[in-house]
Amino acid sequence: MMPRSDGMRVPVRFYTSDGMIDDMLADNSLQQAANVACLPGIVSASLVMPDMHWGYGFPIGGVAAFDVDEGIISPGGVGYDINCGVRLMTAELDRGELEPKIRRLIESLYRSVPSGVGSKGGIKITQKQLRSILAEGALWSVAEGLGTEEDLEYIEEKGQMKGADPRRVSARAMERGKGQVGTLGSGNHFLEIGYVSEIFDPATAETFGLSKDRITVMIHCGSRGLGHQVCDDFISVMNAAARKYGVDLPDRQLCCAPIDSEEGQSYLEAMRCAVNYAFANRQAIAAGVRRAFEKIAGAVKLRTVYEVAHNIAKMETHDLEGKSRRLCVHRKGATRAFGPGSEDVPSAYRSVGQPVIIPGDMGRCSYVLAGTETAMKDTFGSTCHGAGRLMSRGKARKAATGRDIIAELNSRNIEVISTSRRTLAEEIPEAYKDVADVVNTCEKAGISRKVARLQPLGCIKG
Amino acid sequence: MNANYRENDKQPPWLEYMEHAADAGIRVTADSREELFVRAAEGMFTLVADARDIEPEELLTVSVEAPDIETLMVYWLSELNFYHQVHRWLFRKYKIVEMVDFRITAELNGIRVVPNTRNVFAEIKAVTYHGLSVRQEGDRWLAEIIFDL
Repeated sequence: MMPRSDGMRVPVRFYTSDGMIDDMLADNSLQQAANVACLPGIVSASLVMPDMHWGYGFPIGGVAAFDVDEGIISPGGVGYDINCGVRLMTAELDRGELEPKIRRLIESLYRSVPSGVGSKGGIKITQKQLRSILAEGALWSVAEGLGTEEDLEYIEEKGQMKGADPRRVSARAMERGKGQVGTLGSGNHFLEIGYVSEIFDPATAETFGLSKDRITVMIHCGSRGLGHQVCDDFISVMNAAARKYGVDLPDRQLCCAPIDSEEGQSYLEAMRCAVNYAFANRQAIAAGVRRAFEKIAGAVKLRTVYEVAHNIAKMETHDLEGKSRRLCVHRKGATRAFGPGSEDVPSAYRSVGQPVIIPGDMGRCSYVLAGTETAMKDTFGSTCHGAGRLMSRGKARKAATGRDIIAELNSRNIEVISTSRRTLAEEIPEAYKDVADVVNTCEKAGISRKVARLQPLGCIKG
Repeated sequence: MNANYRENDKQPPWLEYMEHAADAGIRVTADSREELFVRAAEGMFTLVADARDIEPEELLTVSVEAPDIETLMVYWLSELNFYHQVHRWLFRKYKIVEMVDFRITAELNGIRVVPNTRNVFAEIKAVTYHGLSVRQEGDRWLAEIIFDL
């Protein structure tokens, strides 16, 4: 805990371990969390998850909730890649059945799902269709024959965030997004085939449909150029709004407006459009995954376990000191982790809590967690989102010099296709924290609990 | 952030890269405001592609205006990044036609990249205000800009 001081309205509460504390102190993420604690209407504490690192205004791994009547909304608390998130699917196949075909499957996926810098050529859409995507999210994709209604039940917000208004999205954002539906993008985005390597909670795993050696698919990407542009557009708006409403900003990148202001509502409506774009995008990519599986493995059913968002702002009701409060919860590099009994958790999972998908780096494992009651009490139902970077891209490229990264991964029985050697170098496993440390810290704090570990078999990096 | 660094010997002396955990930054120096804005654009695009061998084929004119010089830098670089991302431009030559107060008009020569014909190795999501600095120190101008990759 960092107690209140110097303009902080609430304390900072950060989650870390002895093994991660030096890295945590090495950058400015705690100071950023302290700056967030100064913003009007913030309640309880400015929170930081163990995968924290330095961000723009808000730290990555930051969670901050604001009273809807007195608080602010900030694009920096959501991030440029609005609704960057992860979908987890399972295939009705076990590891032994797929391993002989994994290389062909990865190659088929690489052809089915455009990836890489500037990836385009996914699905051709008109301007009118794009507006529908912004309003309807994954529902649009399903209506176009990309996946089934069953998928929607297992996506956060059921694949559509209500209250989106495409008129709030600029022409420039529309231009950036039009050619990118159904594409993975680049950087740390990926598509991974894996298997369940360990079960920690058999009963919850069974509820989620996870069994040992079951084949899994993870899709990690966001709202592409459209979301980036929405954030960019509203940073200008919010800079002016902060001055207009007299908000004292310790950091310019914390620019914001009162939630109930014209500017605040406009941002929310535009942000929701970008959220829906990402939902539609991942649903379209999942359809590409299903096509690739069908070509290589025959008529194998792929089921969506769950899909989470980790850059988002949502209106939620939480209990604070015995009172029910309506709050705007910002999660930037943090995942919702609602506990058992929550109405927002699919009915099939309600008894055990919401699935949380935590991807690791491309060489190590990922985790499936479940949300907890403690998370509801302590972190507005939130937990970590991934491993968090340890090394800058430049340092990672230097560390990768002279190495055959693909061969190294192959030697660990992991097939990789990447559109860029440079991206691959930047994404080497040691560039990231060990996700096991991050997840164990969250479990120790009670804000999520381990259900299963996933091991990679093959990966496409953008 | 850690120390600045040079990627290789071919990097111009006015350009340094700034360490950042997740993204990338540049530090650029120049003798004038106009030269600073040109070099900042060139520096940004070194993060994206190697444009040194481009034979310019087309001309693009851009104009941006902002309330202050730092915001002007963000708007200027964002405008160029937009043309690169959406219209596949890569620039080789930059000419500031006019720079008055916080308004800039420039002519840029370059090419429209045909997909899969050139190595474009990174995508800039946004030009950020994080750690942004555009200032004059004595006779020199200096800019520090971080990009979300």
